[in-house]
Parts: sequence; structure tokens; C-alpha cells
Amino acid sequence: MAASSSSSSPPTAQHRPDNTAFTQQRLPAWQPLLSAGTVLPLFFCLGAAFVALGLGLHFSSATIQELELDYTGLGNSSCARCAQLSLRANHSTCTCRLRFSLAQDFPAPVCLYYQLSNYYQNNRRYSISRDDQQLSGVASSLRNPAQECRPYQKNATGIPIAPCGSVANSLFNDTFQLFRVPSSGPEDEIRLDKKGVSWWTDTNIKFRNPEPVNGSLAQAFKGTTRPPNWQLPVYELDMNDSSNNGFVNEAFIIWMRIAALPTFRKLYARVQHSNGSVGLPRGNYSLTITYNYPVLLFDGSKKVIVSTLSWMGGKNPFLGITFLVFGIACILTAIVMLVVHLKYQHLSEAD
Amino acid sequence: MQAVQCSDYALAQFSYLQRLLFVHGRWSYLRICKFLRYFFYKTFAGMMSQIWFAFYTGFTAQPLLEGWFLALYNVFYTSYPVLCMGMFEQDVSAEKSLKCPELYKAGQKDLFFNFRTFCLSFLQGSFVSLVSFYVALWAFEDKASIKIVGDYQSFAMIIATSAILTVTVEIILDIKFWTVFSVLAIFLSLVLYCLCSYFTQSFQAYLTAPTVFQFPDASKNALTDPTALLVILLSVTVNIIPSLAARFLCSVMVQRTMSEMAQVRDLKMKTSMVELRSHVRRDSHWSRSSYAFSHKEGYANLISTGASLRSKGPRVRGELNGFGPTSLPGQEDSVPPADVACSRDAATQQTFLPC
Repeated sequence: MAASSSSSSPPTAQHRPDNTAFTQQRLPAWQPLLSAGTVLPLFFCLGAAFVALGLGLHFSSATIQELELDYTGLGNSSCARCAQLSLRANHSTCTCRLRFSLAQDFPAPVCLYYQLSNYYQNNRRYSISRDDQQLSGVASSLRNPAQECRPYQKNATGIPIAPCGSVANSLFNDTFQLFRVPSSGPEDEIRLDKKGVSWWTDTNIKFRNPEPVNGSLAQAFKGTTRPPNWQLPVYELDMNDSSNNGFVNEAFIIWMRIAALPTFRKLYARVQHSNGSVGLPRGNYSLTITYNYPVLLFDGSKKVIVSTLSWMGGKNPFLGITFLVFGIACILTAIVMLVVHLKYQHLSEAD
Repeated sequence: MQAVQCSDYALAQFSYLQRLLFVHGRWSYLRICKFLRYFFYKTFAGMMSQIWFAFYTGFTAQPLLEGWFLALYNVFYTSYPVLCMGMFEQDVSAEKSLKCPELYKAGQKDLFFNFRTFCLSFLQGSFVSLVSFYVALWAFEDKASIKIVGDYQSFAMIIATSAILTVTVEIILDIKFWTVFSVLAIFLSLVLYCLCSYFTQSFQAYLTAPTVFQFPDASKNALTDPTALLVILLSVTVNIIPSLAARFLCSVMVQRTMSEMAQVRDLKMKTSMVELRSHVRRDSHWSRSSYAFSHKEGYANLISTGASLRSKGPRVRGELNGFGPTSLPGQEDSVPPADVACSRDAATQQTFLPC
């Protein structure tokens, strides 16, 4: 390009680039610096807050009472006979009884949970083996279960299974009955409320029964059959309460909400307490278990947990301790940073 | 004209090369490096928790995070703030960049993004994913709770929320040049996370297509549980505190922080704009324009060795353009008459990582 000292016309307007703050990169901006005046107080305050929170959580968790009873039936325990019986196919129902005593009153609310271990509900093939459309009461899916349910889609004679899939087929079917054993006199049964234990969306939207035919739920399920491992069909899960029967049975719903980890607890029932704030007074109790569910085949274990609840749920020592430890670590880090800051400030002032 | 049309950069005047390199080139290098570092970090932080989960599912490829979260993580939830950082970030102003050309050496020496910084971002991302996963696991594994928060969908949403909040706080710490767009981008990301989670987990969506929207009400149930909120708070703080402490210690232990702060205070006053303004008067004999360097070696070695670039004012531009008295390449080891604050600043700037 030749030197252009002669042609001194200014460049025309359309060749000039935009002269806005955005295009010329002169946007107004705030450029903060990490200074000791903001970071150190932040660390100290955060550390103090976490220590306080940790102590609060720890004491709150310490007041929660929890009792774990393992009833897998290994060795010589009370449910060993039932456990051995469950290993055989087509076994008859077996009940076993666990006796325990509470040293202190368990304040209301008291809940009963069952815990399974080494049980991979989060296995991929297992967790996709379900048909959510069938479970939400869609009429067309009731007799046409999805392909993912295989091999629990249709039974040997070709009749569709309702509810289909491995998740439904493996429904936990142990039942528990809790009795208080007074020092004299007969045992009296403590009522367990098996309703109101699942999420609202589950009970009311995700799981819906098909429309009853002539007022009968059994008729609505005509043309389907129960899953192979079930003893009762789905419309007989709770004959006493029609709002807890069929797909909306809460024990079924809770089982269908798969657990994240191989060891998990699921809520079985709440203890219905008639007298005010004492859920379970101290004393002797006995738990009668109908042992149906075989876990010894895969080295699993079964437990019953009786637990009181607080605002943060059940007993959780992990949170309290972790907050406490982390709060202390924050404060120590803040002290170290303060020392470093003072040392380097001294050095740079001497420059 | 043809050369201009197929070139990456076309300069109308040779003097523009100075700004192109020292201001825009340096900023561009800085932006790309910070963008890349953060991008790797947030990918590891968000996604590696699925690897840890595989250990607990018998390696059956069960995803931990919801499908919609995975799809929208890199599109809506975390992309806008890092995009703003990649477009607007500046460490020093244009004027300071021109005064301290030594800062350009950071790009030549690969200081801001190299194998070491990649490993650091990988380790930091892995640490974040480990903390998010294991804090949730130990808190929920076999604990009784009110709303059965140990179930798969709640567990997934808690870990997802911890990851999103952690990477958002990390970008807040990373961005050093806050424009309106940065603030809006962060705000928009969080709002989009809430909105998209709400809509993909609403029960109307579930009823329309149960296999597509598989998590009805998962967030609403999981994130209203007090234990879940405490777990998220703990995860986010355990993830962020080491990063914050490391940044602070770096900024303290690098020498001469006070001068850097003084420089920044200068920056807050009016700085010169980066305008395409010709500094060469048309009626002087400096007015050679539009250089092409194809046949001669040219003056590029002056820039790469930093020989004549002790610019202080317009008279020095004559030196840059190759006219007038200049320090020849052989004389580059003479003491440069730069202001002392400039070389100090250069020293602080070159220890950029990981601060």
C-alpha cells in the first residue's frame, strides 16, 4: 500500500468501528481484590457459626432415640428357623418373635422402619423395570405393560402382569406387629398407622388405580394377573381400607420409590399414640414378624428400627460432628492466614 | 484488499500492532486460559460424582443425576457466567498493558494454562465431586428421616444442587472484572436452574410423558427437608473454603501486594480507552502506514526480545515504528528506564496461577 500523505480525507463514517462501551471494551466494571479485611472476618464468622450449628445438631441428634433390631436370622437368633424356611420355594408362612425393652420413654412421634442391606435397588436393569404409565392408572397401559418390564411383563400363559416389572415383583412383604408386654396381664397391641407415610405426589398423582368397574376394584383389574412373587393380587393389598388398596397402597408406593444406596431404610408405619406426647413408654415389648422376604440368598440383612423423630428427621450424628469439625478447621485456617498475612505485611512494609 | 479479506487481523497502521498485541492479545490469552481452566473444573465437579456412584450400584451404569440436569447443565446452568468471563475479563487496564509490555511474556511462556494448571483444575474438580457425593452419602445412607430422603431421586437432586451452587460460587471468586453482564449471567443461571427444575419436575409434565420427565416433584420434596439443606450448605462450604483460602494465601504471599493494590486503585480512576485512534500525525514524516512485512525480516524481533519497548509516550512510538533513535537489538541488556512500579506489577502478574 502506498504512502498516503496526499490523500488526507478522514475515513468515512461507515468504515469506523462502533464506538460504544461494549464494542470498545470500556464497560464500567468493579474489580475487587481479595483483601484480608474481608476474607479473615468471613472465615472467623463462618467457623464460629459452623461450630455453633454443629453443637446444636449434635445435641439435637443425641436426644433422638433409636433402636435397631436385626432379624435376618443368622446363627441361633430367634428368626433363624424362619430364615432357613424362607430359602425353600413355596414355603409356608413363618412368624418369629423378637423381644426388646426400652430403657427410656420414646417421645412422640415414633416411627417404625425396615432396613435392608446389600440390596441394590439402584441397579440399572432393576430400576428401569417398571411401567409408570400403568401405575398412574392409564387404561391403555393396564393390559399392555411396557417392554422394559421383561421378564415380568406377562406370565407364563401370556396374561399381562399388573403391576409389571422387577421393582414391583420384589415388593417387601414382611409384616410387623408390635405388642406391649406389661409386667402382668395380657400383651396389648400397639396400633400402627400405615398411611400417610409417602409423598403427596406419589399417592395422588404418580400412582392411581384404574377406574373401578361396577364399584369393584377387582373387576377393574380383570385380565391381568399378580406378579410371580406375590401371594396376593394387587387389589387385595389392603381389604380394610379402599383408599389404601391397589396401586395406591402406601407400602407399595414406598417400595417403588427406589433407594439410592445398597443399604437403605424405608418407612413402614407410624406408631399411633393415644396418650399425648409419650409415643412408647418404657418397658418390655415384643415384635411379631411374619418372615416372608428371603435375603440370605444374597448375603443381605434385615433390620427393624424403632425411632423417634425431630425437626431434622432421625438420628444423624454425622451432620453435627462434621459441622463441628469443619467449623474448627475454618477457625484454624483463619488463624494461619492471619499469621501469614501479618508476616507478609510486615515484610512488604519493610520494602 | 484480497490480503485483508483472507487475513485474521488487518492493520491499517503499524502503530496499531502495539495495541493489538499488548492489549487485546494479552487479554485474549488471559480470557481463553481462565475460561478453559474453569470449564474443565466445572465439568469435573459436576459429572465425576456419577463415577463415584458407580461404585455403589454394582457398576451397572445407573446415572446419578437426572437426565434433564445432565442435558441442561452445560447449556443453561453454568455456561453464561463463564461466557462472560471469557468475553470481558481484564486483569489490568489497557493503559497499564501498554506501559508494561513485560506482561506479554506470560503468553509466550505458557504461564496461564499448561499441564500443571490442567492437573490442578482436574484435582479441584475431583475434590468437589468427591465432597458433594460423600457428604450426601454419609448423611443419608442408613438414616431414618421424615420424607425418606435416602431415595434415589432426592439423593440425585441434592448432589445436583450442591454441584451447581459450588461451581457458581467458584465463578464468583474467579471473575475479577465484574460488569453488568457478569452479574446478570450469574443471576440468570440460577434462575434458569430453578425454573427448568420446576418445569421438568412438575407433575403436569410427568403426566404428559412419564418416561421423559421421570422425576416428578423430586426437588420440591428433597429441598424442603431441613437435613437436605444442611447437607447442601456443608457441601458447598467444604468445597469453596479451600479454594478461597488458597486464593487469599497466593495473593498475600506473592510479594509486593501493596503496589498491586495501588495500581488497582489507579485503575479505578479514569483509564484510557482502547480506541482505534491513529497516533501518527498525518503531516509528519512519521506517516508511513499499512505495513507489509513479507520480503524483509522486519521488526518483529524487537517485540519478541522486548528490546525497544520501554514506551512512555508518543515520542517512543517513533522508536517502535523503527524511526529515530532506538535501542538496537544488540543493546537490549542496558537498564531500561521503566518506572519501577511497572516491573513490580509485571512480576506480580506473572505469578498469576493459581491466584
